[in-house]
Amino acid sequence: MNGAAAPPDGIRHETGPDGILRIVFDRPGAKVNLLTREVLERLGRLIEESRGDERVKALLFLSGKTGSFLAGVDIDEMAAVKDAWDAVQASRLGQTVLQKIADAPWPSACAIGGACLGGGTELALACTYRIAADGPAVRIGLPEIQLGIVPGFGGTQRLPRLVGLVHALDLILTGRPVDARRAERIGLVDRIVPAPKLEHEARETLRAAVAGRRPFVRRRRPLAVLAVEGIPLLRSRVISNTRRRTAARIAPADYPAPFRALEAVEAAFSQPLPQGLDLEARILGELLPTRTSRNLVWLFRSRAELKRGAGGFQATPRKIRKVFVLGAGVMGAGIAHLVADREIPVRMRDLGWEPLLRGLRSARRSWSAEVRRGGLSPQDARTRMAFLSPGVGLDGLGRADLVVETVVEDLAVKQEALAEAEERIGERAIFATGTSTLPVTEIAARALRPERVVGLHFFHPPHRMPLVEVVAGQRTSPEAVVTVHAFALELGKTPVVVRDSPGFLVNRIVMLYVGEAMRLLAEGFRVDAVDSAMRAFGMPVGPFELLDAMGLDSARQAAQILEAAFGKRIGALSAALGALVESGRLGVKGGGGFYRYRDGRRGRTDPRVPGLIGAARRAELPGETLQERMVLSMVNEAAICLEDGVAREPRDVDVAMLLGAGFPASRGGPLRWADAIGLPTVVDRLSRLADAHGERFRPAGLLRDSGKDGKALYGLP
Amino acid sequence: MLQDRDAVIVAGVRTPFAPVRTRLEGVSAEELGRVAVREAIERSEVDPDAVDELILGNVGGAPGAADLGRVVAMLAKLPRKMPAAAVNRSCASGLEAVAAAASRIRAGEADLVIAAGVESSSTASPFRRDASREGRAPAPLFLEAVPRRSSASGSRGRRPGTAPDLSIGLADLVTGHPTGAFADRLARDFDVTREEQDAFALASHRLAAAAWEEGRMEREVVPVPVPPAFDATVARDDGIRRGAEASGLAALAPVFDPRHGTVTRGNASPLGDGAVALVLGSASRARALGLPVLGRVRAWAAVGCDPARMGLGAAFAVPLALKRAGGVALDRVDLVEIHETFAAQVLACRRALESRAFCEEHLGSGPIGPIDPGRLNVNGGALAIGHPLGASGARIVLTLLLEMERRDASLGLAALSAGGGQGAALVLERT
Repeated sequence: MNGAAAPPDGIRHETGPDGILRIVFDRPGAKVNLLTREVLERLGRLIEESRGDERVKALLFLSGKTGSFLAGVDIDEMAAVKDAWDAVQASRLGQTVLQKIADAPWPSACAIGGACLGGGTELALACTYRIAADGPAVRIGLPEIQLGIVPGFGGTQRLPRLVGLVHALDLILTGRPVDARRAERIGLVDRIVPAPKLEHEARETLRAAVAGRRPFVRRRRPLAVLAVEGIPLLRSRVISNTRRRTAARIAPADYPAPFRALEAVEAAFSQPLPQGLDLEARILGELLPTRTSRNLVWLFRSRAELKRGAGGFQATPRKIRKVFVLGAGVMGAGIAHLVADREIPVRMRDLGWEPLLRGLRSARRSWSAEVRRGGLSPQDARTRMAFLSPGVGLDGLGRADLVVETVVEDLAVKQEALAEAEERIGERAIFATGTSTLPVTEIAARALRPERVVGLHFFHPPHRMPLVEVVAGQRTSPEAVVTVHAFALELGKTPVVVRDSPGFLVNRIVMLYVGEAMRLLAEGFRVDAVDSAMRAFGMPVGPFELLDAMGLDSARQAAQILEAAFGKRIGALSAALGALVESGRLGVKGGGGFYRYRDGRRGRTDPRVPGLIGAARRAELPGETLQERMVLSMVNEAAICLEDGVAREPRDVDVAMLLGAGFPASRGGPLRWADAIGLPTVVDRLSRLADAHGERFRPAGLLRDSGKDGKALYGLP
Repeated sequence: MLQDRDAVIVAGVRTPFAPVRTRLEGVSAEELGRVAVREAIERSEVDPDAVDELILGNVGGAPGAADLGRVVAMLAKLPRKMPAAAVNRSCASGLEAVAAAASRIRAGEADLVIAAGVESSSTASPFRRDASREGRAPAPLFLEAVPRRSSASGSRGRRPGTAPDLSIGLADLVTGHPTGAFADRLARDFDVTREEQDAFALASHRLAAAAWEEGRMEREVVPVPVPPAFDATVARDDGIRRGAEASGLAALAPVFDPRHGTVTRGNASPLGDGAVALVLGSASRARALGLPVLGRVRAWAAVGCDPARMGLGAAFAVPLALKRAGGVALDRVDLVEIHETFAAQVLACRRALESRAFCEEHLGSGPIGPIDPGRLNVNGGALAIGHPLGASGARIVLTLLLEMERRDASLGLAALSAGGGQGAALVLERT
């Protein structure tokens, strides 16, 4: 297995005396194997050549990497696909090579000892046998849907044939991989064997097959399942139900992939394999060049890039062996839970036991749910729980490598928390403030060691939101930035490094957008009309639903801080929110807000809200008009953030908005969206809005200049 | 002046103690131990990677955690490379853990050791009726298992098959007597009246209540969040009866000998649930890490005695420990903790130590001396807060140490009588 012996394309092969042609994927200098075009072509040639080789009696696929079998196709090749024709050709190549494996005159087996995704799974499906190692390393799945496409190397056809309609739909439509145990249960792998015996057992399987014995008996699927697949009426019922359920969550116009996947899976039952493969290739050809898929592929690559560099800061990250979380509110407890989930000891501190117990309860609930789902053993849940230690004092602060502060959003309180911590923490410990709006530099203004103070802004709820803003204050050291960046990665987050300024990146843009929504409300537009306009744009929730969820009091606090910094651009957001807060409306958490709530479920809009904020008489305009004002307010502020240097490049703004604010991924983020519709158009519309509604819409210099030169924001120097 | 290899205690904390099958019954032994050990680590600010060993006193074991020391170490996130052991010297197990840790340190085998004591009487199998074996005659209870306030309503054995039956685990195998019967015998041998015993028990409750009310326990105790629901913490010792009255105690019937006995539920300690953890280090390591020295383990001793008079063990251990401490006279000791398994037994030990006849016969010396009430168990004891067997020995060391600090005392003595006829004592010194 030494790297030097592996030829550059990453496949080794040899035929043993037992006639087993052993093909080992081993991409030189990489941690994972990929099915690149080169690998596929070589694989095809290899199988062709072996057909003439009398010694070969069976085919065995292995990986030379620990923890990875085949991680699918190369995303860079995918991004380079120019058009539908290209995409169909790529799919055709994969299909043809895998068909050669399926059509070969010998039995074939895959020995899966690690992650097996996308094209890797499709290769496994083309084999006669699939043997998996036990243990957590094995994950098998078809994640293509997450890139806005469908599996294109026969996956939509072979998987339903192997595991049946229901399991196939589950794997293909969610894109979530399954572990070895589940894969065996649904029939995706034939056997699970101890990891050290993986190759041996796979060979035994092939030897038995060559000798004409059945290596093992496959479990028959239950009659009811077979009936669903065999009777067209029942089958189409399942498919149409799934389509309806999917359509309730996902707009086909924005995300066509799930609907096309259903079409392909249906064909797996109604048509012979060759026709099914034709359809699959055609669908892939249509999906890959769509805006949605392009944006999702771009997002995937951008997230990978963000993991590699900490926004230009260079230093060696400190290893975090213990974390201390100050404040056990929803945010603090959520962060402590995340840390404990990564099996890092964490001390969670609050002034009283009530919040601490709440934190323990919510962590416990989350792990219990994971145990019920089968993702975690009860022992592991108990072990994780034991990483979490609550306390009301500052004991344990001295040994923490990282302190994460999540106390109230108030400059004085945060400065005090920092001062108190600094008395006890080690000289090299890093103090991360979880502030969402206050500048880190101000919080660190009186710090003893301001170079070790950094911003680490999680989004609510922290265990679900994938984004973390890493904020470098004016005096923050590169080591502090790099350390919390690496730490965020360890927690499974995508960190975006931003420059210190009120509201940082996401909250600043979101507040501008919410401020615009509030102006619309004041002009007399209905709350639900504004919200539904933004949902139609693709936001998961409308601006008023968002405010209710944030809590109107917290939103007001954030608005005040941002209004102090950016003045008129935001408008009178905090005053309006203040009127609602004083009327006892705090949002979902209490008293209702723009909507009424019952048991946390949204009801109708509250008819008294417009009166409370002094709205004008009812006004109505088409949803697109409302949408335009709100979306363009985001685009313009995003461009200003870029000008101000809050973000280093357009990618950072867009990824942050997609992951942190729910900007629709199909549209690629405010700046990619602006590029897509053309900067001159954006500038023109913004100018007209500025004339009609005020200077806040005056297009950012960056947009004007780039638009004039016929350039796009991406690719600017 | 501390020598480099002196064993010093740098931190310690315990969970609240609760009478068996009350508010801590849902908390396993390993969880109790984990909470105490983890909290001791947090409070001491030592690096878990630097801890050389965990030694844990425990008597009854824990279902599903045969290697309780190791299980607690792993749950408390001590490093995998660190060894752990559980030790059992019956009621003195917690003290044994402290002494063993100190010995390791003095011998140069370790520089940082955690000594713990853990008992979940509610869940440990020797205390459960279902662990009973044939051929052992059921003996009367020596300690009431259920909380006393509910015992009046006749709730004994409310869960058939699981009620802790102390006759099994605590009957003495050598003499065949129930462990508690010796207390009556000691009371007779040393002329301890029922009234004296009741008064001593009453004082224990009052002192314990005062210690809490005056905030002296805050530093000693960490609240335990109760799994799995985590909707409450147990924050205080539960057995203390603030409103205990002499008349109430006097009304209780003797447990072992209905006619001539003096030992009642009121002047015997209830079994309990709880855990204690102390961090010990060599003086040189404590200095290097900048850890505060609460006190030094100056000497300790364990000794055997007649199993039929097992409650007298402390009286045998104290003189030996004092002798090993360099011949310290008892009257030079500022504060004394003698574990209150029974009021009769503590009073008998006191009487024995001041008795010329006893000392000449058994110790070959003159009287060791009196221990006046003003320096004995000043924050109450097990009669009030309960007796988790494996934890109590470590608890009296912790309580003693913190009280010595409050009073700026320089010498302290902690002693226990242990089941089976043993005694153990430990001398602490502040410099």
